[in-house]
Amino acid sequence: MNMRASSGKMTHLQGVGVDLVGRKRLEKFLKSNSKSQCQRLLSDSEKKLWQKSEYSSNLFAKLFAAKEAYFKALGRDWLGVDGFSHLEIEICNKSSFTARDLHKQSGNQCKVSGSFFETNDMVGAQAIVWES
Amino acid sequence: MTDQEILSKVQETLAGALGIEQDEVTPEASLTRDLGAESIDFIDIIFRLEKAFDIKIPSGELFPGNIVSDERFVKEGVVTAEGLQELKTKFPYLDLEEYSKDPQISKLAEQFKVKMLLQYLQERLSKKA
Repeated sequence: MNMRASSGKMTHLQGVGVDLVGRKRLEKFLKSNSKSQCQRLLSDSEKKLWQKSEYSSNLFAKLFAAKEAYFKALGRDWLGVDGFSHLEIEICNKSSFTARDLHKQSGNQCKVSGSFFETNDMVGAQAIVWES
Repeated sequence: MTDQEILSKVQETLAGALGIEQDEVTPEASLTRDLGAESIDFIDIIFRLEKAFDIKIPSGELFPGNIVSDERFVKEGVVTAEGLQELKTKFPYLDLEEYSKDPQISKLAEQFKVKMLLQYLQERLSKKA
């Protein structure tokens, strides 16, 4: 599907992905595994962000859900541990994010419009991925 | 380590990761369809298996993440013939006979069974010995 983005350029919609992470499930994961293990899923800048947040489980849940939403948008569920660390989530504000594939050059990056949503029990993310 | 010991340890590991009873973890059980594993669970399973068996599981060695991201192997949500061959070659313990008849990428994870983990660990541990 081709759509005209707000910039006026024609872009091709690659897909839309949504992921939900249960807060308790995520907290259990973080407690069961060491910080160094958990950080295997993060890019270098995400590791710094997580450290700065004093290893917030909410932040980790957002990063995880955002990555999963992106993979689902591209129809590529489960890219393994390395796939997670090669995708960098850039949190814009409390409710939105973009993403960058660290294996791709800047000219070949997809445009990602992401948003977060939360309840008491769940953290969710939606990713809309455009090929420019 | 005997096959029974490996099975016991895998049962303990999966029960801990997935919050289920150990006797639910049978060799034929699908991690997703029967045991309810989701994406975070796959990662937790890998990390816990590494710790339980004192091994490192390289990315793409236990679950075929690298293959599903290769455009040669997956087209429009379907694993290609080349992709199926790649899966059979790299993951000989993955049972693909039924799956090959309708290889939707969205259904690949259902093929990940407990016996896949057992066979992988048996091979890894026999090399380590």
